[in-house]
Amino acid sequence: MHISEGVIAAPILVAGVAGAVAGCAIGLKKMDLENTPKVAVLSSAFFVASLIHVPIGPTSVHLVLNGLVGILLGWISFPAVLVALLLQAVLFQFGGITTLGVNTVVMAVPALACYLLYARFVRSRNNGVAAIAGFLAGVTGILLAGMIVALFLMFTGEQFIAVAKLFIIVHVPVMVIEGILTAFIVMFVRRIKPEVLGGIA
Amino acid sequence: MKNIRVVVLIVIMAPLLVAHRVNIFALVGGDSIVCQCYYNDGAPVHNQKIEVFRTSGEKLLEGQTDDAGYFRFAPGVKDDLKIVLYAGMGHKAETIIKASGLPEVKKPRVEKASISQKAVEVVPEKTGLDEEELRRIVGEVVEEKFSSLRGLIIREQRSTSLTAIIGGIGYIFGIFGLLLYFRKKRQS
Repeated sequence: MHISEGVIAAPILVAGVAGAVAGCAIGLKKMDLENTPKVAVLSSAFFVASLIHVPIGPTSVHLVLNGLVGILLGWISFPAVLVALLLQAVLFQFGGITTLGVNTVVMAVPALACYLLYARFVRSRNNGVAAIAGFLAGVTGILLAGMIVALFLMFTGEQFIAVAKLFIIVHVPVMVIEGILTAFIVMFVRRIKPEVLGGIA
Repeated sequence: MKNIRVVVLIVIMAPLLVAHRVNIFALVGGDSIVCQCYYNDGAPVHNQKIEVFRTSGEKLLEGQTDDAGYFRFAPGVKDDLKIVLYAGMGHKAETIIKASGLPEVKKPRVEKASISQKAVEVVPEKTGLDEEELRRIVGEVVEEKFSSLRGLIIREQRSTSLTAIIGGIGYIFGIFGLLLYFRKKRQS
């Protein structure tokens, strides 16, 4: 899901940088002393998630965790994702420095969307509602990331519908796994440390 | 029938979609250059486009990787070559072969290359066991020996080492730690 260097034209790269910078500016404003350690932990979780490949059949998949990052961090997902992607680019040549902005947008915008859509429900007093919201956040994170990649690639001449369709078909198992995992983590956090979610309403 | 087609499509495309990085690894063996293309989980990049450029930026030739992710070509020129692999979905990789690593170009080959403007077939014409034939046999043997070595190098390259992962986590904590430090300092 990382877009390599030299694939996307300069204007879109610049737009990606602008989006990432704007998101990070808002995110950093919202980040205070208390939640900085939480941001660091989630940033490293996101960093590691895409490095560990789990073989499934003829291919291998990995977790993305941007839905989880989103519901826990909201706008602060932007700086958290940016730092993780920067290190993935420098240490493993995933993506690249010039595509850092675009890739941050690909990952952090869905995270923010998950926050806006599901954070309320994750804090719900009803356990079932919270679990379902967690599951949906995991699914939506990957789904939207795929849509945004397809959108960016549309400018390189690939067909949006074709790329998006293929992406969804291939990622269904990952979405389900990620959804279940996110739901479990949400339930765990609710029991152990509900204040991380902003308290249970 | 349609289901089978979808399944086949998924199996073929899956590594391409989940991979982060495509790699191209090129080695000069005899008169030809062998490129091996693979995703970072080790799956071969099959049936994807490859283009080869000269120093001048002029496209020398283009082709497709085979089922095992290999692409072979005889450059036919002595020049720095840039080999670019396009794997779709935003994935691209390139490598450079220096002119100094290429074999000297023999006269007839140059003519052939300049006439057709594309790759000279790797398999030379059958003319009995002359120098050409010998060259091919030796090349094949060397290639055979090389392939295991190449596999080793590739395995080495593609493994995301645990040390680097742990190092990355350390960097992240360091970055946020610094941020915390400076903010706290400003506040007090």
